[in-house]
Amino acid sequence: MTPRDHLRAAVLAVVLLAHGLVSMPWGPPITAENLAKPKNQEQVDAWMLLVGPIGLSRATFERLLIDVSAWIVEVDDAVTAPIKPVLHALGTGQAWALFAAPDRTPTRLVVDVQGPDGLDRTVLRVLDPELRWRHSQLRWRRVRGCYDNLGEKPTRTYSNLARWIAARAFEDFPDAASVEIKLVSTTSRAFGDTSLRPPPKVEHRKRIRLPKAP
Amino acid sequence: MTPDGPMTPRVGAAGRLRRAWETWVRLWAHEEHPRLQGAIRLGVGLCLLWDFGWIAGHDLVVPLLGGGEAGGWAPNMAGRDAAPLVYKLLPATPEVAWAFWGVLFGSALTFSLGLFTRASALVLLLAYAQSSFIVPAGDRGIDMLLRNVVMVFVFASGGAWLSLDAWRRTGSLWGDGRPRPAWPRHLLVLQLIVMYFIAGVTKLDATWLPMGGYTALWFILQDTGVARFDVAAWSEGAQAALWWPSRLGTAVTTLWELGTPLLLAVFWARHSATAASPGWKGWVIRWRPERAWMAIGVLFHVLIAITLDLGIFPFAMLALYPCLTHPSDWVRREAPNAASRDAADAAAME
Repeated sequence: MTPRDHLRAAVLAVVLLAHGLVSMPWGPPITAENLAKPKNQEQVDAWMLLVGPIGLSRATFERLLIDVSAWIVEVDDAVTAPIKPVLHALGTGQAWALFAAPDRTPTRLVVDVQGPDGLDRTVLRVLDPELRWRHSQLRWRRVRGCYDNLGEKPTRTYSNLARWIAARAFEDFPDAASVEIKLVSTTSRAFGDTSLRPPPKVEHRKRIRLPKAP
Repeated sequence: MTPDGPMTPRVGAAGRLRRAWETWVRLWAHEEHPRLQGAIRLGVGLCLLWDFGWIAGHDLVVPLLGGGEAGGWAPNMAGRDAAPLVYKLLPATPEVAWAFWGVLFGSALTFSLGLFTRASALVLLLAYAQSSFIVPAGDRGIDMLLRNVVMVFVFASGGAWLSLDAWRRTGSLWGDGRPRPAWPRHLLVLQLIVMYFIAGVTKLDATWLPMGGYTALWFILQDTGVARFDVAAWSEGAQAALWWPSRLGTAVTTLWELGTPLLLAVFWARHSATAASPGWKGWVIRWRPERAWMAIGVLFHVLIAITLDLGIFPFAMLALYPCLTHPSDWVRREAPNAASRDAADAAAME
């Protein structure tokens, strides 16, 4: 074995150690506030079926989740601090969570165009076979990332996207007086679940009027 | 001799450490035919070309790669601490966005063609990383994975087979078949194992597990953000036909992802034993259980491509699968006659 072989093995050991450390699926920490949310309480219900029989009370289990996750995140932050700037600069990493938690209330992008008569006409409703204005463009993975899972407060990127969508709509529908971009959530149900489904809810709504000519 | 029998040399901690280090060095030192690295380079490059081409073909260059000042979806670049280097050096105009796209597309093209392959991989990696800072929400998990892969190709022998570099150096697109370091392919194997295993470990949501009824895929198929079909609008009969297969798929996905580290044992057996070896190592080499794992993976990604609209994700993942095979697995498909097969076999031997 040559010195080059030893050097290569040493470098690869460092690379693998670094990527191994950042691949650990920790964080963000679980907070009491987050855990109290109904969808997370459903998860605790399910896990109690497993940990209840071994003697853990619900309060103890929740406390454990909060304390252990906080400790893990603290240790992880300290250990990976020297590595993260390099990974960030190269846009590389090992944070994989492919559909870790399916979205039970997915949102759907809907675009309405208001005509000169003041009535709204829906031109895009994602997955609707008849309302497909710029469907392939606005549904594409990189574009979807800008409006999917927005949370409670729209991002700057989403606001810019909404303005861009409105600008394209004014080009494609010259009679339009305003354009409304909505994210509508629906509740998914298991097959055979006949409980009343909550009505669709508009999570975010942005109406943009035709800019006045200078 | 000792009273109990022949004397055996005692190996201390330092000796055991040295032996472990030598095993580690040997593990990364061996060489193989570069055809798989070339094939993966081509597959990944084509996926990136398609993706970057899509940006231009759908009029999204300025929205996704331009600053807010130029009509992009990113916030304004001026005065932004986290602005990408390209917009710290150049003004955030549509022309710069297009020039930046040209660098992305051009480097992906030369990388795919295998022209100045390592330099192309470096430019592609840096430009791709810069693109992820412009509109971070548009940068997905598959983009990070592909940057990891491209980073490996900055050092790999991806241009030694089916490439313009091979043609420049040897007069043949197929290169000279000279063995090259195998470690880049081994890193890609580890990358796949880490990715699938961590994806499995993070599936702690009850819907992936027995207590949630293995309903995760059912809900994912109803996610209008990613689903290709509006399953919730289907008839009850059509939904019923999907219910049990989706639950079976959920259970298989979880087990398959969590079982990925078993591949390490397979590759260790390949490295350290032969088909004639006794015990589990010989069995693994004779029966090739990794092929069953790969078959499930191929089915998994094909079904994803059919049912979910995730862009290049399933195709880019499949482009990496050749790393799970060995260069000698492909010799007989490529070599035209017995003599050249023997020669290729010899070249592919580790």
